[in-house]
Amino acid sequence: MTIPILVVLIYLGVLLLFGWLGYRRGERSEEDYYLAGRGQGWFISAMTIMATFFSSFALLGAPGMVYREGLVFALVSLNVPIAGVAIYLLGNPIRRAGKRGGYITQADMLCDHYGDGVGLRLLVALVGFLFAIPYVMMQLKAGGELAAVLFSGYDHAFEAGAIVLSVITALYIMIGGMRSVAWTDALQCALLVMGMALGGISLVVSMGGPSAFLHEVNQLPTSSLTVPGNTGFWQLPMLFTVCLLMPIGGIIQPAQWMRFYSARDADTLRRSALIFSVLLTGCFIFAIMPIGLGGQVMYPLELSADGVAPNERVGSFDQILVVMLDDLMPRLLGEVAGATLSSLVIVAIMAAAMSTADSNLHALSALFTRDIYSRFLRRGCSEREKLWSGQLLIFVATAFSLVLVLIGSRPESSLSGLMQMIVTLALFAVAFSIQLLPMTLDVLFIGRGTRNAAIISLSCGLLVAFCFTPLFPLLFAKESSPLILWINAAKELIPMHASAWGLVVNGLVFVAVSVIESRVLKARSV
Amino acid sequence: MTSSTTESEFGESRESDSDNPSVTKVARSKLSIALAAVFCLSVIMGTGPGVLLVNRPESISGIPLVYAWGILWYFVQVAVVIVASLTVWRSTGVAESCRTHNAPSRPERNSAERGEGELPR
Repeated sequence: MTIPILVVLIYLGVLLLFGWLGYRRGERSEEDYYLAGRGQGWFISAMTIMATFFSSFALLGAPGMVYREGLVFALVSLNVPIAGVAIYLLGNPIRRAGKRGGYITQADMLCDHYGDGVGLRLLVALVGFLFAIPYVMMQLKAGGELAAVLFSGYDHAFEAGAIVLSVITALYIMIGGMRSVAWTDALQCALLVMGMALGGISLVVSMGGPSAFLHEVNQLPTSSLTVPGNTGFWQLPMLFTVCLLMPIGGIIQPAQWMRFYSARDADTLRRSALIFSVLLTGCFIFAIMPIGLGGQVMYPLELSADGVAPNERVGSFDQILVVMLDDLMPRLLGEVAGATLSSLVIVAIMAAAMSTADSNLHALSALFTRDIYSRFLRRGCSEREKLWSGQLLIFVATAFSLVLVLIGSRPESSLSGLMQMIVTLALFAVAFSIQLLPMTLDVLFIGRGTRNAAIISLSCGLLVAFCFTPLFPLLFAKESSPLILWINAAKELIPMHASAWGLVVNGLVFVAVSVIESRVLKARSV
Repeated sequence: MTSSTTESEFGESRESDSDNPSVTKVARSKLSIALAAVFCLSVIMGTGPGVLLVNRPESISGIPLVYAWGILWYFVQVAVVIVASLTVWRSTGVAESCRTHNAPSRPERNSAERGEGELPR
């Protein structure tokens, strides 16, 4: 137990050091705190974009999903190059506009285009909150899951893990701002990629090499080897809409948007897109897939008419990698080397979780300061006050997310269904961020939409997407209510993801209102 | 029909694309369309209806069919991104950095059209 604790402590110490270095190099201005002076080079940009995109989804959620569903997740991995393309095709125009307009948040740019209305700014800020809070929760849950396996002999290990992760993350963002977030992200991204590769390789080696591994995989149940997977979740419309919309939603989320603003030039984003597409997809297909599939071989699922359950030696699907590391590494490499390597992967998991949590908290702080505090609550406040309010928001948002995670981790909680798997939380968050797509495309490339269209369509999109998420029936409606019955019938007819339902309504309303409004204006002017 | 050397945003000197910019532009546009078409095809085949072609529990050279299908389209997508990055995106980035820095962005143009003065800071 000493080696893992030592490795984790060194890692956490390095993070705090980066926070302090970021503070020392910062200029104490809002633009510097949030965008690192818009001078981020390609290496740091590529690493921070990758680290923000991947999170604990990569090292806990994805292996957990492969473990639960099987090979279908290899196809889900193909969403990553779509995100890579979006980094350049959407990110570069966003960067250019941000540089010329001096924007810091998404709302700055969108509201500048449509006219600076209160409603639109608040709505765009709301999208940011709806995306960021579940994403932060996901990372804190990962910290808890990690601790639950590593310190399984202790009571409240899950709670302690989530609390430690949230405290350290909030601390270094509050101290250093974007510069330290980007630096730590670079370190965390390197650890993340190393962790994925290390996990995949050690699993394949432990099973006797690639041929033996593939032979074992071919013996898995048919549902593990085909679409829609063991639970039937990945029906084709679901697979297609998730693969198409999740990466775009993950790229136009507030934290990534700010990374585009902070990129130095087009070349920075071009290289970032290239590294992102090649490296991360490769890690998913050749490292994460073997981990999850190997998990199914070593810890067979319990498949029954009631559904799919993890093996009794695996607490939850998301814990598969940690359980395997705990089992495999000491057997493969001996106690000391095994413990050291598995500690490195554990640190990589923490890195993945923290790199996304810090980016989202940092973006949330910018949203609150720019779009709410200095605009509606305290107009004309000083730079110092803005920074201070942003830092306070980081603390409040972290505490809020932590409370939700702790409540949701109890089986009797109504949030427990949503909190069951990390991937579910990720998909929930993306359902909201993708709703900014019609507006973003209009602002960057078309320029024919109107402010009312933007407000009405975004509201409709958010509402519809929320109704189709798993949280809606848990919180607001009885199973027998006509709305739920109608939603279930629609889901059964076309099993698309909630984000797609919202986006279809959003896009149609946006076009319709824009056309009607421009015709009315034309008629009036005649 | 001129060849010129320009200085990019990040201070490097670069040769402009070709002696005949219009020919380069047409070639680049055709390449962009071809790459976009291949990428869309890979999305449809890899994660859309194309999956039905391989949705059975068989293997090819020991690799399960669905897994091999994913790997195939991964290589196609990565190839498209590499080619785009080295050709279309690179030249767009250079052209962009050569353009005058005074040209307003679309959001700026819109606010100017509305007659609004200062941008939010």
